[in-house]
Amino acid sequence: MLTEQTADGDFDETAISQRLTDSVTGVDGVTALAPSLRYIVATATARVLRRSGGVPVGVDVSRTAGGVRVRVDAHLDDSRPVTEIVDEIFAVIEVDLVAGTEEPLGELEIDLRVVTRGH
Amino acid sequence: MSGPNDGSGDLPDPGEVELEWNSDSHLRDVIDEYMDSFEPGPDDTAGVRERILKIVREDIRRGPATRLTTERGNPFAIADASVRSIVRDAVDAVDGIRARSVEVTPAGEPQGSAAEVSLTVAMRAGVSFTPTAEVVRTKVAEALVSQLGIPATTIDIVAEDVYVD
Amino acid sequence: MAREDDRFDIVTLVVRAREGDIEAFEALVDRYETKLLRFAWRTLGDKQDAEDVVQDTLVQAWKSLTALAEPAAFGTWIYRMASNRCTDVLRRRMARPAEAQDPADMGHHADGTASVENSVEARTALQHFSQVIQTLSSEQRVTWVLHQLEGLSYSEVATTLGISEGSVRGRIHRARVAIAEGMEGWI
Repeated sequence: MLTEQTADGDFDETAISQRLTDSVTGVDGVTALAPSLRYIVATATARVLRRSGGVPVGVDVSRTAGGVRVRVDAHLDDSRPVTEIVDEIFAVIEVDLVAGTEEPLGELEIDLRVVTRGH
Repeated sequence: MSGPNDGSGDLPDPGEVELEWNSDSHLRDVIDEYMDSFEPGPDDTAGVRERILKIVREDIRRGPATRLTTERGNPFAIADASVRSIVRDAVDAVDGIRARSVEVTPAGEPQGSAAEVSLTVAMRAGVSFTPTAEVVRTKVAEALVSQLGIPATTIDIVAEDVYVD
Repeated sequence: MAREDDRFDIVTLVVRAREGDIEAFEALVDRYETKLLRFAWRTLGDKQDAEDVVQDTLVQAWKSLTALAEPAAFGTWIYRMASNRCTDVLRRRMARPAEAQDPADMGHHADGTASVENSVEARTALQHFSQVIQTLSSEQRVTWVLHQLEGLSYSEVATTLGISEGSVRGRIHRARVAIAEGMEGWI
C-alpha cells in the first residue's frame, strides 16, 4: 500500500499524505490527528517484517476512480467553533493537494471526523 | 441459576446453626480479621482505575458520530459524545438543572447545517420549570453556535426527575 | 472533573455514561471500584485475580450500559456481574487444583512474613480460616461473602445473584456449617 510511485505517475500518496498531515496539524484548534488506518496496517506489517514502520501520518490520501479521497481523524481543542476549524482544514487540504500535483485531480472527497474535542 | 444442592430440605434446624454462629465470638474475631486483611487502599485502586479508563477512552474513539455540515457546505462527522458534552455543559451551567439524556439530530437544508436537540433533565426541588427551561434553551442554543458552529432548530426539554441538594 | 461529581445522583451518572460521557463513567468507577475490589478480593483471596475481575466488570459495564433497563439498579447490576466473574474464577481454580493458590498466602503482606508463617505449626487461626473458606463451593463462597462480609441482606443477595431467597439461605447455611466444622479445634 505504501508505494512511493503509483500507477498514476507523479501522484505520490505517501508524500502527499505527509505534507497534508503537516498542514492540517498546523491549523489552530487541531491538537492531534489519529493515525490513519493505512499507517496502522503499515506499522503492523513492518513489525512482522522487523522493519521500521515509517513516519506516522494522520491524513490518508488515496486515488479513487473519479478523483482523490482524503480521510482525516482529528482531535480538536475548544478554542474555536468546530465548524470554523473544519472549514480551515478543508481549505488547507484543497490548496495543498492542488499545489502538490501537476495533473488535474478530479473530484476531491474529504472525509473528516472529529474524534474528540477537549477542554 | 440455583444449583442442584440449593434446596433446603436436608438441612438441620436453621435456628440452631444461626444461634451457634452468632454466639461464637472467637469465630467472629477471625472473620473480622479476615475482612481487615482485604481492605484495598488508594494505591490498590489507582492502577485498576487507570487501566479501565484507558480502555474506555480507546472505545469512545470508535463510538458513533453525528454528520453535520458547515455554513460553507463542508460536511464532517463529530463523535456523538463530543456534541452531547457541549450541550450537557451548557445545561449544567444553569442553576438548579442537571442534564441527563442528550440527543442531537442533524436537521436543516443542506442536511446537518442545523440540529434538533432533545434532552431530559433533573431539576432541583422548588425550581420553576417554564422560566428555567427558557434559560436552558437560550444557553444551549448559544453554546451550539459558539462552540459547534451549528444553530439549533428546536430544543425540547423534559424534566424527568426532581432532586434535593 | 470526575472527583467533583458527587453532586450527581446515580441515575444521572448512568444515563450520561450510557451516552458516552466519560466523566460520568469515571464518577461511577470512583464510587464502585473500591467496593468491588474489596468484595472480589475477599471472595477470591488473591489481589491480582480481584483486580482482573474489577477491571473486566467495569469495562463490560461501560460496553453494555445500554442493556441496563433501570439506571437506578446500577449497583445491583454491577455486583451481579462481579459475582458471576468471581464464581467463574473459583470454578476455573477448582478445575485446576494444582494451580490453586497457597491458602496461607493472604496476598496482602508484601514483607514476606507469610512465607515464614507458612509452616503448619505456625499457621494462625486466620490462615486456617482462609484455607477453610477455600473448601466452600464457588456459589457458597460468593453468597457467603456478599451476606457475611459485605453486609447484604438475604433478599439483597438474592436480587444481586438472581436466585431465590431460599437458595441464598441454603447456601449460607451450608457455608456456615462447613466453616464451623472446618474451624473446630481452632477457636
